[in-house]
Amino acid sequence: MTGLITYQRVIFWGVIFLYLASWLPIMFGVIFDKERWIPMGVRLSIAGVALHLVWVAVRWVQVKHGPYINLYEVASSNSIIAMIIFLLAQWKYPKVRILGIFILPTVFLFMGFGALSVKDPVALSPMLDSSWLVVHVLTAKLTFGSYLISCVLAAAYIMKEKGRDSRLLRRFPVNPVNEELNRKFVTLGFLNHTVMLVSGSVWANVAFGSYWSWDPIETWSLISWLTYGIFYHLITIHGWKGNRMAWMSVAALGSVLFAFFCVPYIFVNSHNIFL
Amino acid sequence: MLKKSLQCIKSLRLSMGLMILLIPVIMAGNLLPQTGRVSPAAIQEWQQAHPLVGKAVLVGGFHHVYTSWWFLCIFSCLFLNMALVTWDLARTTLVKARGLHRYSHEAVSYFTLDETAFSRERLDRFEAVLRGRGYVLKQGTDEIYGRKGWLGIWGGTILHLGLVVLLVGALISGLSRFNGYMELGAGQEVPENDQAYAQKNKGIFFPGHLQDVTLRLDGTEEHRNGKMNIVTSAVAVMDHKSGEEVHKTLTMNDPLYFHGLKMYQSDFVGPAALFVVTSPGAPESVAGYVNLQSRNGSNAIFSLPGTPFQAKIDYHAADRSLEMEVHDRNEVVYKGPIAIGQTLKADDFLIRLEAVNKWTGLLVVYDRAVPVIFTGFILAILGIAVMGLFDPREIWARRVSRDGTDILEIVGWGRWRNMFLDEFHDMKEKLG
Repeated sequence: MTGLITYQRVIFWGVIFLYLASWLPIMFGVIFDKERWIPMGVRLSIAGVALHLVWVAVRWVQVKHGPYINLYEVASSNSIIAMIIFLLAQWKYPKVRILGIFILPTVFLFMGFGALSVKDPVALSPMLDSSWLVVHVLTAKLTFGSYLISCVLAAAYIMKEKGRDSRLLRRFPVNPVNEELNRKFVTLGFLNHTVMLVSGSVWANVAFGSYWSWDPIETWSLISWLTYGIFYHLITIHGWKGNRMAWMSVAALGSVLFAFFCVPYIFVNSHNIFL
Repeated sequence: MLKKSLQCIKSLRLSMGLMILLIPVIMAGNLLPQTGRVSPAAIQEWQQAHPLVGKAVLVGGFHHVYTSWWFLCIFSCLFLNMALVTWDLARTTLVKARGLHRYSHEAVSYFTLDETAFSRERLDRFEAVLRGRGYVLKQGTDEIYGRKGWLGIWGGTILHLGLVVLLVGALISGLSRFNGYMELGAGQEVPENDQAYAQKNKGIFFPGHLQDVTLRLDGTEEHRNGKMNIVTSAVAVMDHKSGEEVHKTLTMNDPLYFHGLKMYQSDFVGPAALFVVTSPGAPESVAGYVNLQSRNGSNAIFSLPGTPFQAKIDYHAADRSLEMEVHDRNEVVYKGPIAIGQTLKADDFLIRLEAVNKWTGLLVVYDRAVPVIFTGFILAILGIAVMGLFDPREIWARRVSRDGTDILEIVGWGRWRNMFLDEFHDMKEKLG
């Protein structure tokens, strides 16, 4: 088991290194206008995700459950989901590979945050020993990954609007492609967000006989769901687009970040028993 | 006036307003100390520390946000608004579903895309372009109508319908639900009724407990899993009328279901003393459990079953020894150790400690709204999935005569106007 722990930590740092290494060629390619460097960065990030999957498997064997219990695991699994969504998106829309400039350092920071937190394995509590856990956690991560990419797209849009002709910004998807992608990622996030809330609610009913108990995480997840619901109404019914839509994307992510990363530290609730 | 009020209630502005209002209200319920979540003493302490805000909190009912009348009002308004919006949405979607080629002004607001001189050849080329873009076509004389992703027009309606069903389910659940907490000792059997519960909460329309049904705890176990305690209980539910019996070992995430009754394992467990009391002149003895270690700790004062006495037991888990004090009002009638099988005589009562078994906490829930809530969940998810997966667009090109000239008018509609116009410009480039 000690060997497994060592391997797992070495792999974790290897993943961090690869994400950092994949960010550099993309940055270099953009700043010095060397197009051929960018695919190299993407290839390195694919290698990073492959190694990250190995880390997931090793960690799973070590702790006997998926990597979604303590902050170390949560930061890492959120990162891999965000990376997978990014790689799939850039495969479908090659222009979005430029977003790696934002996504890779964000993921790198998350991984660093995880690396600094407690890494001791925690046994799965009876409450978490449910098949709903996989649905709930997976959709939570897909929610976060989708909203994160939508926010990065929005940030790129805002920057593009401010510095119209820079070499960097010319590489970002143009409007309305940017808006369309933003909307698609918000829709994907919103769908997963809803499934996450519903699966959590059904699971709570199975575990405690109560669908909703206004637990702090439940409450803040509902607040972020309402925020994205308002966002959706604004873009579909009230025709918000352009800068307003982009700023709303950035602001809405704030509610999700708060629910995911601040609430477990501020409030006592059923989600933070291990943190 | 009535029409105006109705318009206001079903307006989208009100929907937005209520959703925006809900955010700070829900936040308040999370940030301020709430009754039922923290002890009354803690609430009082907080109010003393924040006298000004504390008074406002007390007056406004912010110490129980989620059960306050104004929170219920906001939710009722949202429900009413959503129900009416869903009704309108369903009606407009039904009209929209017929398509632009049967256009009526109530149906949909379309975009005028292009107007050029009509030629048969141009119309045919446009048809080919539409086909290439995956549009499903309907042809008429000198006109062509195409649409794609059409299922997507139902997404919003299905989502809103799901939310309405969900709120209806929550309402039914709130009015008819029962949840109770009971503590049973190993071997103890109780009739399933209000008296069996240490704590209970029921809606005003709760239809009542199952008739002639008893619950029995056959045994309970507690073991460690890392830092966690796992409690499992073997329970039985018996219907004495039909003779039906269900046995199950309860654990977290694995409740027992019996004709609308659901029983859950709580995380409380401890030792319980079983007393058998023989009253003077009574033909039968009375047996009853006393939990020796409740959440308040051991050494608790309790009424001895079947006697007018109050008693206090100090239980030492290490050697399973008991010290007991029996009071008749203020007079101590017995004080000393008591062993399993020992009988005490107090006045004319015979009190025998039959056994020390384990007890456990069990939750029992009746909730008839579960299928309704599930349906709401499924519809809401389905609605968002349909909205996300299908991007509805339609285009109608037709020959119209204006000032004696034949022109080809192209109109269209797409949920995402920019993206739709972008696609149309691509198509127009191909059309030449």
